Amino acid sequence: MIKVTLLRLVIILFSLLLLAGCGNESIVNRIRILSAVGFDREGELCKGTVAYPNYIQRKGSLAILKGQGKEPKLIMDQFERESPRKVKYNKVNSIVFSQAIAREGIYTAVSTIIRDPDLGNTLLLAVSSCSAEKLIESLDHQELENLPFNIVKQNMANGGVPPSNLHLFLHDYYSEGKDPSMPSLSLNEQRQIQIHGYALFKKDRLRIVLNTNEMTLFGLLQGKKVRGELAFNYKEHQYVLSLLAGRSSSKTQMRPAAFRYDINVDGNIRNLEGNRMSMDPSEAGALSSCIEGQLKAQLLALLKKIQANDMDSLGIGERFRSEDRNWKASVFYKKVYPTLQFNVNVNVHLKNSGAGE
Amino acid sequence: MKPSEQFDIHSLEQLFSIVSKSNDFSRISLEIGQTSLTVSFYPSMSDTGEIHDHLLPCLHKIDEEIQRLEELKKWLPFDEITCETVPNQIANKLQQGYVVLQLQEARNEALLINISHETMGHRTSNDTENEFSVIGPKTGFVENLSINLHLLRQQIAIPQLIFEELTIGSLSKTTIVVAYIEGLTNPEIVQTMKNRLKGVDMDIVYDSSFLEQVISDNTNTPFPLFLTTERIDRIAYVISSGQIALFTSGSPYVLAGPSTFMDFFISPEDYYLNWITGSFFRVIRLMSVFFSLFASPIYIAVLTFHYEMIPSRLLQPIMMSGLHVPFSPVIEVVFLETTIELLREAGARLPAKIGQTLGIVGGIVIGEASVQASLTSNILLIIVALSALASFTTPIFKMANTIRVLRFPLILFSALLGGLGIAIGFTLLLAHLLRLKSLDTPYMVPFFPFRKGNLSDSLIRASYQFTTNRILYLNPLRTKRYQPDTKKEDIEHDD
Repeated sequence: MIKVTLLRLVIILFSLLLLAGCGNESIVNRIRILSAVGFDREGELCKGTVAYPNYIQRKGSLAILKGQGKEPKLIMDQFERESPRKVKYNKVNSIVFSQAIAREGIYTAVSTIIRDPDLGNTLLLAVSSCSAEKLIESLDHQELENLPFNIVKQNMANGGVPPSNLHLFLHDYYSEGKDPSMPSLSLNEQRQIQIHGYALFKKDRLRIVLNTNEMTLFGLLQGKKVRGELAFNYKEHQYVLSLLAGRSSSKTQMRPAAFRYDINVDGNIRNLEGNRMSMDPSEAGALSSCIEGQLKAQLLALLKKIQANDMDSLGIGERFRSEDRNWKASVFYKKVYPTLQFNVNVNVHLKNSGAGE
Repeated sequence: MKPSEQFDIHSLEQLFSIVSKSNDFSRISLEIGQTSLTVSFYPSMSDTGEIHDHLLPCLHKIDEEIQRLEELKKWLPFDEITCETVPNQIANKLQQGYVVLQLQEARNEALLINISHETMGHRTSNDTENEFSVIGPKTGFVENLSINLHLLRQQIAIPQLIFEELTIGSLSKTTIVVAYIEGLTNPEIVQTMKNRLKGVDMDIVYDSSFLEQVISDNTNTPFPLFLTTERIDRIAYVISSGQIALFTSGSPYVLAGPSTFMDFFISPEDYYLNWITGSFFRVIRLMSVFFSLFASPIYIAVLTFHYEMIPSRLLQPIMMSGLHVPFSPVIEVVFLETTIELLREAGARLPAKIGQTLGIVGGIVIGEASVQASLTSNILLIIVALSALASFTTPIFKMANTIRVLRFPLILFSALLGGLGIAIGFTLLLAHLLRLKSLDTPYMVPFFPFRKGNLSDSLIRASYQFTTNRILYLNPLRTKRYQPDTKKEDIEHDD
């Protein structure tokens, strides 16, 4: 008897579920899936611009929505009110802040993002050199492929952009001995989004934006495998070194406090007169030592620049903390870091230089 | 419980008064010397040519007085002649096509001569029609029991191969044969099987699958608990591994048990190909089970609840193909799955030639048209067609059916709760599978309970040097099939 009633109960419950359509469903072709968001500040209000793929009228090319509000959530609400379909932001993969917001601090915005489980931790955070609104607007009628996320991702894999996403940002932000950083985007004359540099933050505030050359060097210092192009001079000629692989190791020194980078670079030179090496192999040594010298100077200048701005974007403090039991962030950054001695050793290994004549 | 009423015959007068009502019964009276002899038989069951060419001339040749039926034996050139007095036995034999001879003096006694025409009405070709394999023997079992026993004895040529007969069916009197190898098969299993069969009471045993459901450990399961096959090599393999086979008179399908879940995904071809290709195809087959079960539920779950899972590049084709479909993914899937099932069912019922046409009509026209009419999306059509295709890779038809049926509850679960629903559905399915037993042995061995002795021949088919064990969890009396380490020099040669 008990079995029968249980079965009945299950059937009733099951059909109830079926009839009521229980479950938070959002059928994929009945929703608006936001892809990229840009935030600007206008007085007290926050201005949001989003791009979403429009499948009905535009066969999947992007369309733009704009809204204003005190909070990102309120902007979402505004979008909801002007859309015939449910607006979902779960698949947002690029969030762009205007420089104005970035200079004032992006923590309030980021803390909203990180509290929302609907957003992934691999999404891209970026700073826009123009207004974020303009940047996102430029995506109008473009393909989903042209989102900032894909541009940065491509360059992280094949170019000189150091790895960066929300997860890494948060890791750096909450570390005592490291400051966060993220790519900086801008629009070129063709109204096309491009990576124009790398933004370095002090805690959540934007301090400086590195240019692209410095960005590649920055990546090299991070010790990650970096590809990219570096320009240098040799005997009054301009050369470009294409990085095939860059490996760097670093070492701390306690008394007196110093920090040493050992950088090994594999590369090739294939531009004008690049075949100098094949014409005269004995010149290869001179060429690479010339590159080493210039590279070393540039790297040191970059390290000094970061140091002078009172930032620790490379996580040198973390390295010291890992080796010093009594490490204190306040003491380190007040007393040790400003006068920290940097040593850079560069070892360039030229693989080839194009075909000889 | 009361057994069903038996149709008993109490005397020979009663028997003949009943059978003579039937028009296919014939009775001939002969005068032999002083006595008269009656010959009774069913022309429909007996070999009438044999009767007219041999039996009757022989009876006419008798030129001495016959007092007792026993004396007739030496005049008759037949090998199976018995004297019988029990009316029920005589009735049974008469039904099987025996000729009944009676003397006028001894009415209660009958001489039974086996002139039955066993192969009458049976098909002559014994190709394996439903379990086809490219490599390997193509002959299968037929509807005739003695031919089937003959076919098996050709494969296992030792006197230890035992066929034990039982009769089931109050109307059909069907002969059931339990086949096993004495000194190899665990006697407990044989005993269990025989006990189960003894407890069966039904009127007609139409087919072995009928019997399968009656003797199975759990009738409330979609899973087949006994292997059903028409392949001779399969049954020979099963018996040699320590399982038992169950032949049913009139059925080309032979049951084998105790079976495990994995048995149903093994094809004889795995053993005919080398172990690398054999294993590859077995893995493909197992993966296709999962694909067939989960492809459409995952489609529903992802499109209804977890659209975040879809990579951006895939979003475009999914959106574009489903753009004008007015239905939710569940309805789409149920519609298409039902269509496929309809096609399969219609194809199975129709004659072979029309069936082919239907496949084309169904596959191309309905599929294409429903996409054109925006009833379904292209991507779903591909998924459903592939999962239907995948379900047909299962070698045993009954298991393939089960998999197709189980897809529907999973679809329902995924429509209700998305990925969580699929997880719940799969858990319930797994729990059910783990509880199942076939002839009191667990269904999911060697995975649960875990037995490592037969792992070399489960998910993959390892090289023959590793698959030396018989099915160990059945505790066969001899555990090794062969000794792979034996050197050639150790083997004695007859020169």
